[in-house]
Amino acid sequence: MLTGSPVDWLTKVVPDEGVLLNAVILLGGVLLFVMARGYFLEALIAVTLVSLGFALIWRIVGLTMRDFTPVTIVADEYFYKPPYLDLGPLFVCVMLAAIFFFAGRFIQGRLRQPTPPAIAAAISPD
Amino acid sequence: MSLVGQIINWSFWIGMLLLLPLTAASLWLWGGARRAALGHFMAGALFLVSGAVFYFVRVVNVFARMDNAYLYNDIFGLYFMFLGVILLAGALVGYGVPPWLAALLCVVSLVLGRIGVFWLWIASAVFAPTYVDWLTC
Repeated sequence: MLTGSPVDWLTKVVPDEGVLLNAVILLGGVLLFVMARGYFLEALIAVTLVSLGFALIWRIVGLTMRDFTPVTIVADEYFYKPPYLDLGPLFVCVMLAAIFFFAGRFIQGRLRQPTPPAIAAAISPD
Repeated sequence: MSLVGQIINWSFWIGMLLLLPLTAASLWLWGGARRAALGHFMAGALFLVSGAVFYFVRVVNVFARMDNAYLYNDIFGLYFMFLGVILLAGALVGYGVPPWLAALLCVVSLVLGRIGVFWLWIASAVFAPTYVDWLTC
């Protein structure tokens, strides 16, 4: 495998969680940037809707917190399998993403109304 | 498999493969990256988080790793993460990042996160099956 990336260093600090850390770093970075640019309301709407969507997927897949516990020993007393991915959750995930895309486009259009020409002319320094 | 089953099966796989060009096209179509930044952000976040969780629950469980029933977790977990990174990078354009920098961030994220390694492995196994040792060892 490829080695030497920052995620590798982080996986040494928190073992077996490189994938989740990678997702958290990317998502957190974009979220921080969006808020730093002053789009607090859009960030809030995004976090709320994505959390609700993920909760729905979590429920449909049937995930529990136990699924996130590493199982590294092959023995009967440690036997546990998480629910595997089926076509239903995949379909729901894709549909939710499509709905979020078009909902976000609609909401953004409402939040960022273009300034009417008369007002723009009045507030313009020229 | 019956004819109807085959049609459903092929429709599913073709639809899933079409997601990638559709994701890339969404950066120009339906308002583009600037007018649909929030949409890209939300869809990308959902894909990234879902994909990471689908992939993670299989990776940390040795019994799941030995079971082919979890193959979808591997394939679609990384695929959704791949789509999520593209959408998040596209969303950055709508929030003021220059397109070339967003594209660079997308590539860097994919490489450093090793999100594309699985697909590279698949492509190597298909096109050059004798030269994949460096990926599997």
